[in-house]
Amino acid sequence: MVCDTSARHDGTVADERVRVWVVDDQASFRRATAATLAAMDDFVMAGECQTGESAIELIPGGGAGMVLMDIHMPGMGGIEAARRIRAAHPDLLVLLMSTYDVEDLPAEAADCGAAAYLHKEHLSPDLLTRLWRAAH
Amino acid sequence: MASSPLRPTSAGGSVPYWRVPKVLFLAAVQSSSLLGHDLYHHLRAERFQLFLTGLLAMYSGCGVLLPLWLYKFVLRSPWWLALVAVCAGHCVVLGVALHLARRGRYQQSITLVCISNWVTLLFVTFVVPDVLAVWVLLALVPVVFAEPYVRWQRGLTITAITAGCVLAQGALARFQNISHLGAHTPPAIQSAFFIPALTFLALHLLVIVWNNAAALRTSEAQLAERAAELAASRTRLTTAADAERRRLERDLHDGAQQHLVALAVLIQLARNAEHDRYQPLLMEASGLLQTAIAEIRRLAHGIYPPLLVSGGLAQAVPAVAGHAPVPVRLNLQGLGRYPPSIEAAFYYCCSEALQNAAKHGGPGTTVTITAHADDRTLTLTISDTGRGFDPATPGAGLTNMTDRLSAIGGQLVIDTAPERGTRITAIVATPMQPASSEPPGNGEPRLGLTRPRRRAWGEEMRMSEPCGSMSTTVQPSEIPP
Repeated sequence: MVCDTSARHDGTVADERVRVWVVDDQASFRRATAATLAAMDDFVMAGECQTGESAIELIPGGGAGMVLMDIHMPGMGGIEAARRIRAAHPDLLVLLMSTYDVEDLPAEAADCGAAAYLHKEHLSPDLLTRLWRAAH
Repeated sequence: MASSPLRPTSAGGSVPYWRVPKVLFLAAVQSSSLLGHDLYHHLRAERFQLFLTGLLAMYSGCGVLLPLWLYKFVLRSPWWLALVAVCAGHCVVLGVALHLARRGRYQQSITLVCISNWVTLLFVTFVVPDVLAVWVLLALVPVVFAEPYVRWQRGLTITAITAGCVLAQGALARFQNISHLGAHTPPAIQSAFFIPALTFLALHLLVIVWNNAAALRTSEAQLAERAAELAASRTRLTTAADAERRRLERDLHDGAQQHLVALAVLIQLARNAEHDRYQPLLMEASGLLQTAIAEIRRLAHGIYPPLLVSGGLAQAVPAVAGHAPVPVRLNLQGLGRYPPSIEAAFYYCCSEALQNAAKHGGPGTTVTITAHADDRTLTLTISDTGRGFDPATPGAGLTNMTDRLSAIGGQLVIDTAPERGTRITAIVATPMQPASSEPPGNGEPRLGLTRPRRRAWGEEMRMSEPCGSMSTTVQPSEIPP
């Protein structure tokens, strides 16, 4: 996992559910994410995007939340999208995801502002909760 | 010497016999090939036969008819008759050599001519030593001509014996003059024979040497051209292979792996889910698994079609035609098993041509695939009735096909024009008899339209085109040459 210690957020889990956006061009993974979030009480699916460009356009600021960002997508890709989203909305916690090993990731992945990198197959309610709590 | 000459293309009667002398003459005096190919190799058989016929005519005229005339009207010497007898014998040998040449046995033919020529010329020099220069040049003619037609060891032997023959001719002319024919023949007649004969033979020798040198230059130019072509083709093939590997990586990553990842997430969820909530998760996981399996199957098929491994072109081509979105008429006769590289290249050509026809052919396009195999060559023709294209701008797919065929020593011929359909012909020399390793059941020619194949286990039939609607037959003659 590539952790970015500078990413700190002020949101809390206690009073309201965490809004989660998933950005991935693969429909199967978006469905799996939706199922994961549906199984969680504290998290809610806020929206889905298929490209980094649409994520930058659609994800609103003004509050804490989490973005699950696929790295390899058509267009600008997840790393650049994560950088821009973090620049525009520092409150959002961005998690980079893909199926590649950490060693195979571009160097930019480490300093794009994402809080962590996780393999897609490890996505689970428990992991999301732990990452959220670690960031806050 | 011609130890391993370039494999020549057979002339196949492409030039009428009456034009051969003119063409050979032009080829002799020009180093560039006049008809866009190597005349020397292209007209190898004709050149040889013309040479022997000329030699036969020369010996008949100067060795038989001229001495007979001299015997009758100038000098009644029995030496003339002996000369006629020897030269007539040589003419018979030349006739035999011509026969051998017509059967393609050039080395035996030219060797026979050389041996007979030495014997004849030694006798002729013995009888008429006064025109030694003519006989020496005549001794050189066949050996100079023989150079491209014999192995180098035999070439060296012939050259050495010819040198010995010339030496013996010199000795004969210098140290004896038994017949005294020269002394009794009028000088005017001697000059009338000597000057034209010397000039003609000298020119003849020069033409042969020039012709050989021109052939060498043409061959060199062709080799250089071919080498450049091969280097470019190799680069394109490597690039195509890299692109294919990239495509495979993307297909694996974006396809099957993504489904499996989502599957892993769902199963993990299902494991921890409440009793009443895991059923829908498992249902969704099952769907993803099926999708992943189909994806991997499609991918594996794309990498190398399994039917091509097990059944060769005879089974794989109908299968790929059955999957094509356009109606395909098959006429596959005598297809056997060939080396995997040939089968793969031909299969790829079929697949690519079908894709092109479906993609660019336009509505109503039909395709005909015709295969013809004999002992030596395998030919596959894919013709469609689509839009066609400008042959000056072939796409990457066609270039790939050309490269693939080129890599196996084959050739791809593309006949097309806008609005006139496309005919792609792939030809390769096959190293083995098609029938020898033919799998059982493949010997029957396969005729008729392919029907969409029914899948096993009663799955839904995949209809690419209602069979009844295919009423027209694609005729290759509809497509312009």
